[in-house]
Amino acid sequence: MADAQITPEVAKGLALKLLESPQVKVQNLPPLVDKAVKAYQDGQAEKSLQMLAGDVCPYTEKDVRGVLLENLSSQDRDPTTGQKKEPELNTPERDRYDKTQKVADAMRVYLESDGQQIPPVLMKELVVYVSHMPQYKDILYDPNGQLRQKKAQTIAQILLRQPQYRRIIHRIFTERLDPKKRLEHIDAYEALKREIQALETQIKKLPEEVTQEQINKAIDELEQARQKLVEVSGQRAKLEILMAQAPQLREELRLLKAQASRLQPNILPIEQRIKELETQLTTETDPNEIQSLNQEIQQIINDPNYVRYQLIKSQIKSIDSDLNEIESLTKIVTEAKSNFEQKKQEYEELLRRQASSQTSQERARLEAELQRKKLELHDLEAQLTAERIRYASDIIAIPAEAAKEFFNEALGEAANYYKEEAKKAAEKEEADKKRLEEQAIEKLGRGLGRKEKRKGGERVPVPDKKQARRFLILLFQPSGLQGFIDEVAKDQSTLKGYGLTDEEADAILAKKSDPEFVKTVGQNLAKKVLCDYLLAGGRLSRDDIFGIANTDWGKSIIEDGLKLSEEQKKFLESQLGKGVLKTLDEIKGGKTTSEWLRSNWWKIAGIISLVILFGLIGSSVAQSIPGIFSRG
Amino acid sequence: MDEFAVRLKKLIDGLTKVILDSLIAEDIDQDEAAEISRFILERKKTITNDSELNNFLTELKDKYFIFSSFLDSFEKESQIQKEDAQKIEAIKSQLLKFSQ
Repeated sequence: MADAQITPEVAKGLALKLLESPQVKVQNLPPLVDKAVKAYQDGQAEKSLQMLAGDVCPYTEKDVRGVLLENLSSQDRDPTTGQKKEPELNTPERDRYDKTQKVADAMRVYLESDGQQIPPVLMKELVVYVSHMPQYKDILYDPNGQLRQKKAQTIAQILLRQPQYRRIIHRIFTERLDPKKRLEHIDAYEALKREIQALETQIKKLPEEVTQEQINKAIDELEQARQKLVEVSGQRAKLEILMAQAPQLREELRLLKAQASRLQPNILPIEQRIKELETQLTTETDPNEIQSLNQEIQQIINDPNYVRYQLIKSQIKSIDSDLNEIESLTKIVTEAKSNFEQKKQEYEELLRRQASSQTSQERARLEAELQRKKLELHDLEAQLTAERIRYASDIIAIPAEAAKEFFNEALGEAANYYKEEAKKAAEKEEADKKRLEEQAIEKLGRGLGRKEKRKGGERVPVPDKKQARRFLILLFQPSGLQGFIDEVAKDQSTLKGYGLTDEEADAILAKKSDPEFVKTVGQNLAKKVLCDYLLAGGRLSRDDIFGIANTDWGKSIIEDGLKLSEEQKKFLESQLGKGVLKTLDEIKGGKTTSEWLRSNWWKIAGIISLVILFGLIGSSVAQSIPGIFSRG
Repeated sequence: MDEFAVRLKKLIDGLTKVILDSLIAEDIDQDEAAEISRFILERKKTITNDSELNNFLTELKDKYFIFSSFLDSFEKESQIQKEDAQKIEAIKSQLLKFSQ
C-alpha cells in the first residue's frame, strides 16, 4: 500500500518541497550578501557562491560608474537618466573622478578575472606602495638611491597573485563601492537646498516693503493736495453762501421761467419786428428814414412787456450764472477735497504699514533664516567636498590598504607563530610548572616590543618600533640571547611591567639561567621581536644584518626560510627571480653567512621580510592562515 | 545535462540557499560564508561520481553544522529516487517477461 502511494513523482514532489523552502527573503543586507542573494534568485547559485567566496566581483561596470558619479560629482542629475552628470572638465573634481574611476575599474577587472588580469593602473598603484615600504628599501633601491622598477613590479606582482591579497581587495572593494553607498552629508545637503528654495519663494511672495522714499513721496503729494485745498478755501466759502441761496435761486428761476413763457407769445412778434427794422437800418441811407426806423425801434424796446421780458431774461441769466458757479465751485472744491483725502489715506496707509512693520519684520526674519541656511549650506558643501575627496582617496588607496593589511596579517602571523613556538618550548617543562610558565611566556610574547593602544575602549598591544629596536640592539650584543633574557627578566618588577603576576615572574626568574630555556624561549621571543620590528615599519641597517647573521637566532630565522620545500622553492624562484633564492642557496651551499653578507648585506633586510612573508609563512604556518602562501 | 550533473546542480543550489539563509539569520558571518563557499567551490571541481558526492556530503555535514538538516533531506530524496528507479526497473523487467 505504502509503496503504491510513493510514486517517483510524489517522491520528487516531497523532496522538492523539503529542498525548496520559500525564497530567500531580502532584507537590509550587506552589499555583498545582497548581490549574492540576487544572483541566487536569478538562478546563478554558483556565481552567488563565487561572490561570497570573494572570487567574483559582485559589481558591474555600470554599478561602479554609478556609485562613483553619485559620490564624486557635485553636478546636477540628468533628468532623463536620473544619474548625476560627470564633473566639469579641467576641474580638480574631474581629475579626482577620472583617477578614481581608473583605479576602481582596474580593481574590478582584476577581481572579475579572478586575479588573472592585472591592469597597469593597479600595478602602478601597488609599485608606488611597495617602493615606499621600509622593509623593501634595501632591495628596491640601488646604492645610488635609484628605484629598481623591475624588482618593485615583481614584488607587486607576487602580491597581486596571492589569493589572500585578492580577497582583501574584494572585501574592501565590496564595502566601499557598494552601489547604495552615499556620502554622509548628502541627504542633509539636499534637504537644506530644498528648504532654501522654499524660503526664497516665500520671500518673493511677500508684499512690497514700505520704503522711506515712498513715505517722502506721499508726504509731498499730501502737501500739494493740502495746498490745493487751502487755495480753494475762499471758493468754498463762496460756495457755501451760494449753496445756502441755491434753493431760493432755483425757485426764483422757476418763477421767472414761468413768467418768461407767459410773455413769450407777445415778445416773439416784437423781436421779429426789431430784427426787421434793424435789417432795414443796415441798408437804409436816407437820414430821415433812418431816424424814423430808430424811433420805431425805440418805441418797441420801450414797450412795457418787452422791457419786463428783458428784465426777466436778465434775472434768469444771473440765476443761471449763480447755479453754474455752484456747480463749478462744487467740482473744484470736491476734487481738491477728494484729492486731499486720497493722498491722506495713501500716506496714512504707508505710515500704518511702516508702523506695524509686519512685512518688513517677516521679511527680515525670513531673510535672516535664509542667510543662516545659506551659511549652513556652505558649510555642508565644504563637508561634502571633503567627503568626496576622502571617498576618492579611500577608493584609490584600496590596493595599498589591502597590501598593508596583507603584510600586517602575514608578519603578525609570523610573530604569533614564534610566540606559539616559545609557548610550546615551555610545554616541555615539568607538569606542575608548565601552566604558570606557559602563561608567563604568553604574556611576555604579547608585551615584548609592543605598546598598548586604545582601540574602541579596549587596550590592545601593538608593535612598537622603539621598544622592538631596543631589544634588537640587545640581541646584537655579544651576550646575545642570554643578555636579552637577562634584560627582559631583570627582576620581578620588570617582568610585572609586561603584565606578569608575581608567581609568573618568579617562574621566569627561576628559569632565566637555564641554557635550554634561554635557547628555546629566548630564540623564539627574539624572532617575534624582529617580526614586530618589521611590522612596525622598522628597517635593518648594514650593522644590523651582520648582527643578525652572527647570532644563533638570526641564523635560525634564515634557516627557517631555507627549510622551504623544494616545490615552494621553485615557486618562489619563478616568482621572485633567481637572484633571491640564489643568495639563499649560496648560504646553504657552503659559503658562510657572514662571507656572503659582506657583499650582499643590503639585500638581506628585504629578503628576510620576503622569507617571512612568502616562505616561512608558507611552509610553517600555511595551515593556520590558508591562502597566504599559494601558487596564485 | 545528465542525471548526475542535474543532481550536483540541485545540491549546489540548495547549499547556496542554506548559506544565504544562515547569513541573513546571522547564524554565520561573511568570513565564515566565504570560507564555506570556497570549500564548496574547490570540492565541487573534484566530484565526478556518486561515491565522491557522498564523501563530499559527509565532509560537509561534519565540517559545517548549518547544512545538517538540508543534507538529511537531500540524502532522503536521493534514497527515494534510487528506490523508485529500482522499482521501475523491476516492473519494466516483469512487463518484458510477460510480453515474452
